[in-house]
Amino acid sequence: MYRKIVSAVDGSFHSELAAHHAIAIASSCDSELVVLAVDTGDVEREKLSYSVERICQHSKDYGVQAEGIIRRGDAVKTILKVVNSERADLLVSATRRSEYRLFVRSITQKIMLKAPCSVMAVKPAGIARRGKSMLLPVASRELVTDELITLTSCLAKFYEHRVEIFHVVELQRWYTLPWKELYTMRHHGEEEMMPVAKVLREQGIDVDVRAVISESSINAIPKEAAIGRHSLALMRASRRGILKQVVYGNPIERMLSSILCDVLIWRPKL
Amino acid sequence: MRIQTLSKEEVLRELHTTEQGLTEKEARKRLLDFGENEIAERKKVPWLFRFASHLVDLFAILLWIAGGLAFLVSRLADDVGMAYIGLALVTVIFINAFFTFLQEYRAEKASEALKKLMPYQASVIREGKEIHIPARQIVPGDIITVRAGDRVSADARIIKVADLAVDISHLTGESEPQVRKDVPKKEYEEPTNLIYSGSTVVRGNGIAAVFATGMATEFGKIAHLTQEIEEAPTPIQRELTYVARTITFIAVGLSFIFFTAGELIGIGTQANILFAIGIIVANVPEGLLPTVTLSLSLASQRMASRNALVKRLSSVETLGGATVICTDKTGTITENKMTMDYIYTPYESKSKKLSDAGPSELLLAAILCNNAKIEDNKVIGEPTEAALLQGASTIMADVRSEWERVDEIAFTSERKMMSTVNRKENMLVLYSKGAPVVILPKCTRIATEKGIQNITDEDRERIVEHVSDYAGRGMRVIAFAKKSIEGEYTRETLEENMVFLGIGALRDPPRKEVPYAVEKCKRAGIKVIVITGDDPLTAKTIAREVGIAKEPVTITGSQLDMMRKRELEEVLHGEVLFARTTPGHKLRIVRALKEMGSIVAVTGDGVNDAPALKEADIGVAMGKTGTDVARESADMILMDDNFATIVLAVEEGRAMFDNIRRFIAYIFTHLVPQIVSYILFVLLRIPLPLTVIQILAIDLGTEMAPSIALGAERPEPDVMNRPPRRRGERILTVPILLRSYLFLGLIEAIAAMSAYYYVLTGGGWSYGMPLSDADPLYLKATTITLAAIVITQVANSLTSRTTKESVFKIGIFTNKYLIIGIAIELILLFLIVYTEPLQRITGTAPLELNEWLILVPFAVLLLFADELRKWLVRKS
Repeated sequence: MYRKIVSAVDGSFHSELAAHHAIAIASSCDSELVVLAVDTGDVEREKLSYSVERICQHSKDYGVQAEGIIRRGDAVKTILKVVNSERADLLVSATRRSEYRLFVRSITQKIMLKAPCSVMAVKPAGIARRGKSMLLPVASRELVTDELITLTSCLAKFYEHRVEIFHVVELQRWYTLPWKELYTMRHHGEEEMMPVAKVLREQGIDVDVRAVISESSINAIPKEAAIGRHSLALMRASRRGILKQVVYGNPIERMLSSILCDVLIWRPKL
Repeated sequence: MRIQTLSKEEVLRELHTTEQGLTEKEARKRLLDFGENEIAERKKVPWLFRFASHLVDLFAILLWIAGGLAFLVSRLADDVGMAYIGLALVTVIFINAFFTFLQEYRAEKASEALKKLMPYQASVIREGKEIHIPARQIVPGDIITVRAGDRVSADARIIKVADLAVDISHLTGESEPQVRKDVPKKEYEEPTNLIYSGSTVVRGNGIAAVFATGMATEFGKIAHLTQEIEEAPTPIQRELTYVARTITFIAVGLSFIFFTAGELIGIGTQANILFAIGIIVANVPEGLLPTVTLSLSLASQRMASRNALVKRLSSVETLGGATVICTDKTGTITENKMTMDYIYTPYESKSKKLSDAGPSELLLAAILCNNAKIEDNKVIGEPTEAALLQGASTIMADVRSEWERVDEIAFTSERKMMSTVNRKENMLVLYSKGAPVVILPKCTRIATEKGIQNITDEDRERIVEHVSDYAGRGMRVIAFAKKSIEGEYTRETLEENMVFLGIGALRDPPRKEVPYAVEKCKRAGIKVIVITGDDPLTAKTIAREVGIAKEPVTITGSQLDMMRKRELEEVLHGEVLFARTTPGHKLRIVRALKEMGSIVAVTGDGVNDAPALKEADIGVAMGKTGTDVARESADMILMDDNFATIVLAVEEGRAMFDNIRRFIAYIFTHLVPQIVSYILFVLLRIPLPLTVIQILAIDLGTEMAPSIALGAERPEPDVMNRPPRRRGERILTVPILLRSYLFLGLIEAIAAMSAYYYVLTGGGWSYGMPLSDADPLYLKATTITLAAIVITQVANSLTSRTTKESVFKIGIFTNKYLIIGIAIELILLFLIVYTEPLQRITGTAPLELNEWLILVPFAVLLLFADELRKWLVRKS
């Protein structure tokens, strides 16, 4: 599915942790990996090359063919240029905390808005992955594309994780409804996700399906990630109208800051 | 990659750090990336906002409309009386908001309690130097040093250690200090090379590399879950919302219909608005919320006197609906006190209860090879040793004074045994105790009835059989041995070639009152599930002994980890017991049970129990052994940690549900004469029989005391013999509404209107004659309407005490609070009727004796009519 993956790094520990996920996908998909560092003048060149070299070495340990590139220039423009010239299928980039934000107005957000290929924004939680499962929140079956299935499968195989497909049925004041009605809704929610589970199972992945009823998936997903002790959550980026963003905030920002495990937000190619 | 499996070098490489630590520059950068190492607190809605939200709920909106209309009329018609009504209604809104707020308020300090477990300062190595920095500035990759007495500031992997032991009870509930090592562990092994944020260093010191900080630590995850789990409204809150909605529907509907009718028949807009206000005020049970709150508060006081402290008032009622109680074992079902129950000595060849045993050398060994002490009749020491000393001392008098301890080879978790060398006159004897698997191989001889002999294979087999038998019954088995020492000795060879003395079996016995409480639960259709960190055998034996389960499916924590959601639901349908679990598992079980439709009460005491306590419908924290975090997260605190107390609380909760039903039915009845008086005012164009202020005088005055007294009705004898009420069973049911509105309410309406008509016609009024608001005849007539409602409500309060049973059978005077309540109600009525200030406010006039007397038959009629109904119900 992915012929070439670009992993953008900036010499930080954080970005190297994110690059590990790029290696994981490249290893499972048998893809080529381009480790790209942009020298914007903020970080010493030596540190950048050391970081790129380390990731390339790490890739080799997993049998991934990796090429390191360091370019000088503006981060966003240079990354987009390399993505285009390399004809990359997927770009992996870490989100960084600036001021109080993780995503909004970050380089990753700008890339996500402009890059023609699929983009994955990664927020690493730390280096210790203690859980044995990953969370796959799915808002609706229609949003599950072949690419998302492949990504899930690649990550689950690489980390030897079980996958929990998690579907939130959003409903205001759900607690006023009779329990039987709630049970049926949950059951229908799980049934709706079954075809997705089936496809993943066919690929040899251990899958569990869970549906919950909640007033907001923005609260339900972080809670599920914590209760299930998942080590990573893979989710599809969703678009929200400007008005909704003003009222409720950027959904990606909310997810990145409130989910405690590694969060991988994937946006399909434009 | 799992950090515990890596070598020291790999750990440092993965974290991009060295033994010299990070550079200040790198640390600053990482601080920006990973955020500060602190427990982030979720923003809470300030209590003032929460209070304000009750000013705009459905009841309140209705009353705001009525109040607004009153002010409007007062402004348009320059009527001060209407302004008073408006003011009274606004006051009612605030009173109701206050009581609703009180009902759901719970001091939420779990986050503060969690924060207290985090240290303020930490020692960290940066650029090769050890420095002290605020703990919140620690970042992944930092090298921290920990010493005895320190609190650990982040999750870290140990890279260097010297006899380090930490207390991680806040994460595991295991109170014994855990030894930490610096060697890599296999993935399936316990990660004993990790230390966690919030834990305390008990002894030794170490150097560790931080791999997670702040909310990413294990402790942060608990804090996160504790804060993330939002509490849904309790059933009683939901029910009150439902009642409010129903009433609003009726009130708005009636107002609209009669307002339109009023306009059509042309009664004038001002009178019509007054009418609309009247219909709204008459329909809204203004006293309901204060009554519910005060009754819940009284019930919570009763529960407090029975050792159950309720933190959120509305939880009192939730308890009554509990269908599953998930309970810990140690301390809740058992006494949390080890006792030596059985001993086995080879020379008696069979197991014996300790109470039947005589003095023996085994008991002597239990006393001498023991570091526990008896001071002021209290045994002080490690639980197992204390149990051995206590047990042996009841059989053998104090023998320690005859012996002098010469030497001790201490117990360690690796050796699993301890020995003491004791002298009595010229005799030097070694006594040892420990795990049978350790002691038995060190024995070459055995003390039998024929004296000391060489130990044979059959002897060993017999001993092992007894050990397995005890262990199979969930007991802890300790073996004893001795050795006579002649001359000099060397410690290295001391514990060899010993004489086997026998074994003692210890256990934590169940509390005496638990089997009866379990039996009660079974009759009440409540399932009890034991969730314990203890081993499966012990848990199973205790569960059987107290009657929780006969042959439960036992699921261990690791088995649960492998289970899918559906599989877990399947086992939860049957008899099940969870052993060797962590509190994370507890949360999963509680959630699965809730999704299956159960109303779950769950017990917990540790910091890590907090999320499960919050997720459960009723979180029950232990008062004696519980941590602050658990107590702050719970809805109820058990002051005696006793399972039986939970069951008592459930009983009280069930009674509360019945009682709320009783006084709702009682309150709803008087709404009918209030509404009817307004309907007749519009339809028949008679003078208004009851003013808005008089309605409020009934709702918030005379009615309050009897309603609260009905809330204090004792549990009916069969309250724990019936199944829990169905999830979603309404307080307000159609039969209750029919009984209140169309049966008893109608009798009250007939009484009120008859009395009103009697006074009016007796005073010379005839139909169609106008009557001013200040006319003494009108004042008297409205007074008797009010009195008629109150007097018939006295009869209603008596009959509302039972739903099917005759009130004469349970005894009219058995609820002393109700008698006091009725007395208060009547005194208030007389004050309204006969005292000048209240007459002025409520617009009443004094009544004559004969006027009072015509009300009595109506009260008697109501009482006996309902008795007849109950008799018919009993017969059918």
